[in-house]
Amino acid sequence: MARIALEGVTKVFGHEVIAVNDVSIEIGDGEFMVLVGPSGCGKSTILRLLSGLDEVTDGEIWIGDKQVTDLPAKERDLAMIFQNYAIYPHMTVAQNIGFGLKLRRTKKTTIQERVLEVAQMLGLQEMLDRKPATLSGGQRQRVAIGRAIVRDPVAFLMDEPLSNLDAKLRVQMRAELARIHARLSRTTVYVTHDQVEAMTLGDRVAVLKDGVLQQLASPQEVFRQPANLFVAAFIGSPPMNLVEAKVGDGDISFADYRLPLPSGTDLSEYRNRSVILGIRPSDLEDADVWTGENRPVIEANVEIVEDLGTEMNVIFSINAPPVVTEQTQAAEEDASTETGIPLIASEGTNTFTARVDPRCRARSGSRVRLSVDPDRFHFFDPETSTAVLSKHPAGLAS
Amino acid sequence: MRQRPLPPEVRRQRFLMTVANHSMAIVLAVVFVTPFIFILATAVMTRQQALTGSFWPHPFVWGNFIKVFHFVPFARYAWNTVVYSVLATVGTVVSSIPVAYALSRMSWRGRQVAFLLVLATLALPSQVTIVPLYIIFVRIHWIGTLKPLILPTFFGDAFTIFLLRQFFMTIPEELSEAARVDGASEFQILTRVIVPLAKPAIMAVALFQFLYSWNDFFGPLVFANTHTWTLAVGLAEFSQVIHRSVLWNIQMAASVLFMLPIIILFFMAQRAFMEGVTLTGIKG
Repeated sequence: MARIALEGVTKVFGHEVIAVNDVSIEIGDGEFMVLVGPSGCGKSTILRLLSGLDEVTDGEIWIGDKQVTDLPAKERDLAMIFQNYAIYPHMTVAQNIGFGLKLRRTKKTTIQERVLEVAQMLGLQEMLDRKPATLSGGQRQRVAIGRAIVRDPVAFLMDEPLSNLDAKLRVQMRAELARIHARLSRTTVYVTHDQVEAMTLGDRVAVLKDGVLQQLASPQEVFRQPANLFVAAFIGSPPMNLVEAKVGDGDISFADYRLPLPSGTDLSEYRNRSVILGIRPSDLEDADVWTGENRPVIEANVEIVEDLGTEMNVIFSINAPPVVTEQTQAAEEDASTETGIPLIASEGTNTFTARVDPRCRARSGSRVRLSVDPDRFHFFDPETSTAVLSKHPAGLAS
Repeated sequence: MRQRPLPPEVRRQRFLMTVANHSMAIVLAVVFVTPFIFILATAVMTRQQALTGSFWPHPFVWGNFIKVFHFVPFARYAWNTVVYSVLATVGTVVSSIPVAYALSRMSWRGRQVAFLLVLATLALPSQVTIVPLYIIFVRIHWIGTLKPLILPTFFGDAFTIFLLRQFFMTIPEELSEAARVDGASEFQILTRVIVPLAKPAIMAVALFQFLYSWNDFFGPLVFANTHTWTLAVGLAEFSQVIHRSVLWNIQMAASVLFMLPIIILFFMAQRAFMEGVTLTGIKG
């Protein structure tokens, strides 16, 4: 049981490659912290620095009240779960789970008891005498989890533990990890590039890009109030619609649309200048289905409709160039290569996605009327890419 | 269910292929087995018959195998050979494993240089080092004993180190890291994770070293004396000393006895050996 703190941690590989750049994160006792970001953002490196497998270049690491920056891995009493399981192929399931205890010269009978206890918890009791080669991927991952929890370590470090599993199993194991965490309430640092895992598992989420911490907040806050364009574009699937818009007097215009500014928004600083407007696909709704209060409506030509059963993605292009900054590109690269979201934007046009009710009658080629909620608009400074916090505190709660 | 009859031309082609493959294999087998049969046959011939062209022993003289022990101290040579082979194998394996580990799975300054140095010793022919080595062993009064053959093996063998290093590098790094986080020391990672996983490679290098020592002629000839000779040197005795002429039948009988343990060992460790060969792409 312990809090974990990184204070100004930097890791440089060789002389030039800065994998982690002055990152400070404090993880509370029993907290589930998710590190998320595109590949190469330094999230796994942070985990390796925490575990003691790699040494920090600068900064300090604290576990509990102890400074462990220079302590070797075996003295940190952490347990780590690896992406490719890393279970020992020459040992049986029971030996794998009990390995850490055996190294600590625990009594044989105690090892057996603990191994059995953990095996029951993970549903592995039938397989204790089997070798890993005969197990399925999900079972192997369970063995790896068992090996971690059997030792009752001060904290768990998990490096993309579910990414080698197929989709169905991943959902199942995700729930199981949440259950285990609820039961053991042990400090957990979890690395993933899967934002669903980040959103569902984390008490808090740390979003990283190029070794720099972009935002550290609860999953809801990261989703609703992204600190900058990168976080906005990276978190959320389908990703946030972004467009450069012109701020007018009480309204904002982009492409062929002019929409009112949300109540209580002060964008006077940007008047007659551009601002980047972000609208979550889920904040657009088919105006014909929408029955709530009156909202402004935009009309568009539907390009593609993806009917997912429970909801529908309506994809349309708008008459404006796409927002291309270094930050959105970093987020997009990851989305297209790792989560398979189609990037249908053809050169020079900006594609919007609306996630609407499946009763929507839009078909490709037809017109669709979409109601928008200005209160949920996100604004970013085009120069700095950071969020423009223009709303009153009351507006933040929405 | 009746099988669909194959078209005759396909059948003929397959038949010819089978015949060709088997003929090839049979020819190769004969080439390899003939000398061995020749040794076996000569080993049970009379002295006179061994000098004739006839091939089938007539009569079978099984006593030749006993006579081997009369002409040379065969039992002592055999014992020396066993001592040399077993200890050299143990020494090579035990000393090379940690070196291979350090050269493959630990990072330290100068590792590449150290590895190149180890490799460089492979390029030195033993003829170059034999004289200085001989002088050293004379100074410390080891000539005439098996020590010059055995003790150096406890300081690692370049070829073995190279082979093990290559194998160790194929073991996923995550396994070491998992063990490290689990609380294992570097030594425990080596003994409990790496060595068990590298068993086929270790078996292979052990077999290579055993075969090498068993067959080693040059080493014992230079460093040992008549008391500490091994079988390989002892065998050569037959072709020189006895009755002013070569006793081919007795020498062949001795050769059979010399080869027997290796053949038995090969059959016993065949699987590990073949694995080792495919593993390293090197024949023993």
